[in-house]
Amino acid sequence: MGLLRRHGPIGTACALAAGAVLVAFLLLIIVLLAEARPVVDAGFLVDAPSRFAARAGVGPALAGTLWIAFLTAAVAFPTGLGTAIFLEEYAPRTRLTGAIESAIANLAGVPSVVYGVVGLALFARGLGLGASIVAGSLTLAALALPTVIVVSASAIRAVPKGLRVAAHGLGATKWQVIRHQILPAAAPGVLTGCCLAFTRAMGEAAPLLVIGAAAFVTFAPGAPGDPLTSLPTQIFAWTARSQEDFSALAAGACVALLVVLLAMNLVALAVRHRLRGGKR
Amino acid sequence: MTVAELSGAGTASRALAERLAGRVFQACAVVATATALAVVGVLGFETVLFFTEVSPARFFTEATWTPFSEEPRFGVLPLLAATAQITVGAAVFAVLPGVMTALYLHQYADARSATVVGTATSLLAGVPTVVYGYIALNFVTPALRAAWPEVEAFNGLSACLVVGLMILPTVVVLSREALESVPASLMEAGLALGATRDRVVVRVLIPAASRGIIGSVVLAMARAAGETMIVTLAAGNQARLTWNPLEGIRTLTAFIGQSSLGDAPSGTLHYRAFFAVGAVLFVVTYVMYAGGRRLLSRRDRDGAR
Amino acid sequence: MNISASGTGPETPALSADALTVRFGGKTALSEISLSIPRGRVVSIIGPSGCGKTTLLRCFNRMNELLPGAVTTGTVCLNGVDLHGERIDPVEVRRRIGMVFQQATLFPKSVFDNVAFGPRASGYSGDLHVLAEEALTAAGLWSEVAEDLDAPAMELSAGQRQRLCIARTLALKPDILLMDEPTSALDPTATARIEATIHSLKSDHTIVIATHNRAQAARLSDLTGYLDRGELLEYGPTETLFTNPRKRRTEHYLTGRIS
Repeated sequence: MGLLRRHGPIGTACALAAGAVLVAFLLLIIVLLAEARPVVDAGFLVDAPSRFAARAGVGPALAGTLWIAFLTAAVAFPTGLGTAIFLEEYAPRTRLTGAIESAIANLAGVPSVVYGVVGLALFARGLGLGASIVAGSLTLAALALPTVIVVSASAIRAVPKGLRVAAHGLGATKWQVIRHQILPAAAPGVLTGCCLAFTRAMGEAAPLLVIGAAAFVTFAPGAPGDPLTSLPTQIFAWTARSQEDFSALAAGACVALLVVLLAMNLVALAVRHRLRGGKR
Repeated sequence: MTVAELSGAGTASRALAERLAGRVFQACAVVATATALAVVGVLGFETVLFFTEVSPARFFTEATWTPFSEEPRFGVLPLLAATAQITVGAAVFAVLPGVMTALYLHQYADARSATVVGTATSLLAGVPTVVYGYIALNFVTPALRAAWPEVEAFNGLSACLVVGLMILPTVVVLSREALESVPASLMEAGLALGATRDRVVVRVLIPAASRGIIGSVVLAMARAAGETMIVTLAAGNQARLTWNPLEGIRTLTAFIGQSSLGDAPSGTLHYRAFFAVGAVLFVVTYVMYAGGRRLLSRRDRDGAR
Repeated sequence: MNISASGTGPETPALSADALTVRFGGKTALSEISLSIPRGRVVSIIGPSGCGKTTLLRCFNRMNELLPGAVTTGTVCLNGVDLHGERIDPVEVRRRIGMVFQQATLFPKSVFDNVAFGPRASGYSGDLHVLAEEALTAAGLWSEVAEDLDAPAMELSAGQRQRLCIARTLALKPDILLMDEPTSALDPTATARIEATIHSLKSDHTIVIATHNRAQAARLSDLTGYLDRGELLEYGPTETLFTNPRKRRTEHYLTGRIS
């Protein structure tokens, strides 16, 4: 037992725990891939769900998820970043500002399903958007907003004070300081945090189910007003059917979802790399 | 030199851009604050209406939850108990491995192992909960039933195990931060006195980081309490007051997630019950989350001293 | 538009303060400062650390108001114009009165972009390359960076960085140059180069330097003020102040009994 000699009994136990985490992760991936193998073919990514498992695919759900990703980011990113800029750069440092910031940070911990209930009342029913792509996107935007604000604000706060002072000293206006110094310096942090917020929102099924995501959408959504479907809700629908064939479909959809999320993360990583490298 | 020269009058367009930028950011902040208020407002409004019809005393003390029957009963205790079971159960499975993994990453791992385990942890954190739900129902439950025949098709145990796996990365990442905030000099002081590393870890490092570790566990439990998809798929929909993890239960979240709420007509008692349950969930998780954050931030302040 | 009486005759000081008082919260950082800085001169403000040198300098270009809780009363005039006047834009003030800080904080960009930042911000319409060369030459840095203006500014040495900060400020063609402890973070060689630069800028700039380096003040400046616990105890020709201080505390500071 070289491990025991190197780390001592507690260290060995810790190493075994870490090993177990690693094994759990690998098991998860292997099980999903093995289970998904029979259904994943070229057609799987474009076909629509079908009563016949063999012919079913994730086409509409995948399109729905991409739509939702785009709309959610388009709403939550500017609003969240703008709010963070306002709180950090414009708002006076009063108790009220502090209370607002703290309340927003705590809202990031509210369960997604609660946002679903609120989204149903506000967007699906209140604005009359129904169980549509746009209603789902607005709900997920509300869900992601607190996280976007928190990560953006902390990235802005981490920008060295000297940059601000130097830029002001050179006669830059507040907006010029923000645009030319603070935002470029904060960009990598903002990007990393927001990517995390959005990939988490993309994986959410509960709020969309509450709004009324359909289990059986046979055409790919082409407009924000089309019926709500997404990979996570499709996985839920297939899993809840609990038949052998549909289990494979659900696994296939899981793999598709994980690949989409991983791709989003890789893109963000590449962009961040360019942001850092671009400064030369 | 004149006043005009210093008034920036020659740059009217720039002054406009300046004012516009300020307005735009303020508008964003107003929208964000309004969203936050709307979340609380909508939940509160429908919940108050719910309680005009159902007395809060009965809601919080009765043990029967049959919202869809002819004579509906709204006793939230079974749902609360189920949420408690999942939250505590998940913590039981997640805390020890989570903290130990954090300890491994902080103290024992070489750079390469730390990268591998760290990456696996952050990838686990990124797995959507519906995927965990699929795993729980199709793999964990069958395995449990094979080993243990009296396990029901839907049961709390499978959900606890998988929710535990889901919150594991939270425990690992935040506990690791708590451990890292302990000054290295403290460890070195112990080692210099001739104590073994294990002894210093147990006697010095863990006590010094305990506040942050507890904070990480509370935050993870807040996530477990709000988890919906795993419990919806694996724990069942029987709203019964039981602590037996082999039986099916229904949590606060599963009640909302499962009941195809989209079909409930607005304004009915049935519809408002979702908001009342949502409000309970909101309060429970908000308190846990805020408490966990507080524990973690106090740790920061102590570390800074 | 020439509203206020704004003579620019020879006797109008470039910069003047009258009964200038600054409080942070309840604490008084500067009290009742009055002084005038003649055009084309180098003025040193010396005094023990924490005496308010930086605050005084930051008042001259209205940088203080960026700090939360700062309350300023009294007047500061640039060429006779009250800088706290109703229609005065603090951004324009900072373009006219350049400032170099103790810590040389460069923007994480190229050398050229650092120099061009100020002119770009103020909408300069001329040739930025010509302007940059002028500013870098005046700051004594041109020969060292001319080869690669696109090199990251962060790769410069500490002394070069501070000279780049000076060049960056000069590119705005300011009327006044404020320097807050410009050499306190530098080694003696780099300090000598900065001092040489300041010396060469003397001919066509009005310069105010805050420093705790007594010898530096004596070497560089025409006039010197001694600031102690927020009060300007003494202000006059450098030689007089150093050889024949009128106040006891000034003498103590100059002889090193207060530091």
